[in-house]
Amino acid sequence: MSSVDSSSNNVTVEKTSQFKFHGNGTEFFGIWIVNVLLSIVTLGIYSAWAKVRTNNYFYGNTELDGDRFEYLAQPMQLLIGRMIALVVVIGWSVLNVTHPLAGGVTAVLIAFIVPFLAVRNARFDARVTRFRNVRFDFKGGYGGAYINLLLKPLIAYAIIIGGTVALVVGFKAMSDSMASVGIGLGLLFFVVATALTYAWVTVGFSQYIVNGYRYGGKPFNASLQVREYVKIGLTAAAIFTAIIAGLVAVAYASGIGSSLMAVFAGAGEEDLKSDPSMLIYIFGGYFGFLLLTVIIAAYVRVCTRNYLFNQTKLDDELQLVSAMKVASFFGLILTNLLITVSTLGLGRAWVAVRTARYMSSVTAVEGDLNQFSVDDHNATTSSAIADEVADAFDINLGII
Amino acid sequence: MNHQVDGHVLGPKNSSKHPASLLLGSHGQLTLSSECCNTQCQLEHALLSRSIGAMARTITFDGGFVFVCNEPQRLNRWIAQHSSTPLIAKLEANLALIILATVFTAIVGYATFVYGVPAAAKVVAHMLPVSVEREVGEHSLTMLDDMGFEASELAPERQAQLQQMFSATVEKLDPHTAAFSQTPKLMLRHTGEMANAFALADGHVILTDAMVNLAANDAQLEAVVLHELGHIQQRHILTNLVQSAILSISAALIVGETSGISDILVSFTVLGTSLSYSRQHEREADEFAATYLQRWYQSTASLVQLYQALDDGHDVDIPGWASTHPELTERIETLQLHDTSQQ
Repeated sequence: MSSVDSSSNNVTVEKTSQFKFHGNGTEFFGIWIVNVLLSIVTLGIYSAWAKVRTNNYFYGNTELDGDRFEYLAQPMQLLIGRMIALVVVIGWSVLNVTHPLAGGVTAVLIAFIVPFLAVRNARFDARVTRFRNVRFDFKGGYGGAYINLLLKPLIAYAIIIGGTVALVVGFKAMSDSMASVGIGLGLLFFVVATALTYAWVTVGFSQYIVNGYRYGGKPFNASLQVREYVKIGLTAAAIFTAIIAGLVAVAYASGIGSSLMAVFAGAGEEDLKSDPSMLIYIFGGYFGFLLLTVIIAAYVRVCTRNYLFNQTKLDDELQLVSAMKVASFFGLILTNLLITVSTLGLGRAWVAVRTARYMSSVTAVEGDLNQFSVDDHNATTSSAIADEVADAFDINLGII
Repeated sequence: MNHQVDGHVLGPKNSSKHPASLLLGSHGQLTLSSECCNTQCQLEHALLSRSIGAMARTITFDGGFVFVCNEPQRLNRWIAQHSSTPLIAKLEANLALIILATVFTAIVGYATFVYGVPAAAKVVAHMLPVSVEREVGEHSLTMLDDMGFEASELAPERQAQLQQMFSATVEKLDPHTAAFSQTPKLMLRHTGEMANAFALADGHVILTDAMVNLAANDAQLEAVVLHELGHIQQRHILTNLVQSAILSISAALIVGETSGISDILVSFTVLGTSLSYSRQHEREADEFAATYLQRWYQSTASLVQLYQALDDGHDVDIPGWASTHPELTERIETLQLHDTSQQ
């Protein structure tokens, strides 16, 4: 739709530049395994150098319009942060074992500094990324981070849990016969409230992050509609419910369902012994359920990334484009899983390269990059501590 | 011989591109010509981007002008011929080292999970103060109440008899090899038809009524008590906690990224590995019981008989790899091996 708008303003046809990844799985395996070896031999110290080399490789092999990205972080920056993160993690886990209560309190405290760390982390990552001699930056404020990363999710949880419990308990208090109505309504409320608050939280979060990024001095901007995320959330819930309902119907029709129910009702130990295939159904159902959650997660990921990117502009001149497809992305996840399992984890090098290649192939920039002239800002970036603590606790924002 | 490559120049701290060509001299001299900048220097005085695999390299000249080549492989080759490749880049492309690193990593990974983690957990568990054991034990006791464990329904005389047997057994143990951080205590509990015996971190051994009734005689109960005392003496419960903490943290550090699929993989691996550690603890406790049964009665028969009774009353066959305990048949065979080796 943006191409229609711009062609009316602009006589020239929009130019589209596709991201390209030039890395090679076999080549990267050599780099990765030697880095692993050196990290083991140096008792983990080399891992900071390994991370820098790995990021250098991935950034430096990602091409846009004839130029590559660059990763500028220095290993020592990462090493210092990594040591502090390690001390925090070990201290916390020991505390968790020895004084579960104190560990819990610390976990809450850590939750309160997560938004702060997230801002520092985003800023560090942005400032060590360079394209065409110009670095990125992140200017999002701490206030916005606390509202969007902590306050809004807490409100969402309160609404979901509070509302569901209130409905169930309330109807049960009226009369026992109404209890099932309460449970039904509570369940409905839970699904709807989850979809709505998920959309509300995601919009606030994504908008905060995207609008905080700068390329040189120029801002990224995105204005997102809660409506679109609600659509995605409800469609995902509908697909999930439909597949589960379909499977349950098939199970009952074929008689597996009733015998399974008997097993779970407790009478079934003898049945299990006489019919070991029950165990296979239980395992199969478990794996099937996991697979289903992965499909749903892939669907949500694809839709939200496409929507987010297609709403994002750089300084109102360049338009980001994402064209992920559910089928191809799910295929990627599944083949990555098979590679990882069949190589006992050694195939992670190929997995990383394939993922980068796929992500590049579905990402583009619309607009004339050559006409887009930017000057670098003079920010100094020295501390990687926030970055590393964020890494260890796995709160990376994962927006791209 | 001189080569010429085409590309573009990026100005200092600015994203504008200017077409450029670079003359590569046979002795390493570089001549850059572009509308924005014409300069000349020796390769060793220019700033080269890192050499990693076949990644396209760029050259930064004095003043921050960066030359980006249209034919990166040609430029890479010329740079490689006229400057020395950094050691790390050589190592990363060395086939022999790559094979060695693969084998080494596989061995280290295997050894870490099979020997390293349990050994480290054992050391940590033995360093933790007794107060930790007490706290964890109390926590488990409240959990048992929540799970529907009730006071034993055995006759008071029978309970007293069992308590006496228990303290006699504890006293008979060698105080040097079997020292306890906490005095072991016997606790009798009732919970449906489940025949079960287990140990808590604070030295409690729990026997269910069904277990007491399943045993044909008190010798068999003594054998089971010995097995549980083995868990307590070797601090298995605390070791288990420490192991799960180490496993979860290291798994999170190794995997690092978060896509739904890797979460699943990690949780399966952590679960599978925890189960294998748990089976190892069962073997160690069996070993402890067998040693004393041999010393006192010259036979492990009582424990074997009890396991056989458990096996007969047994219900679902969970495959060995998915269970917290090794298969009973395997444990029975190991115990019987003890007897034959002593004769």
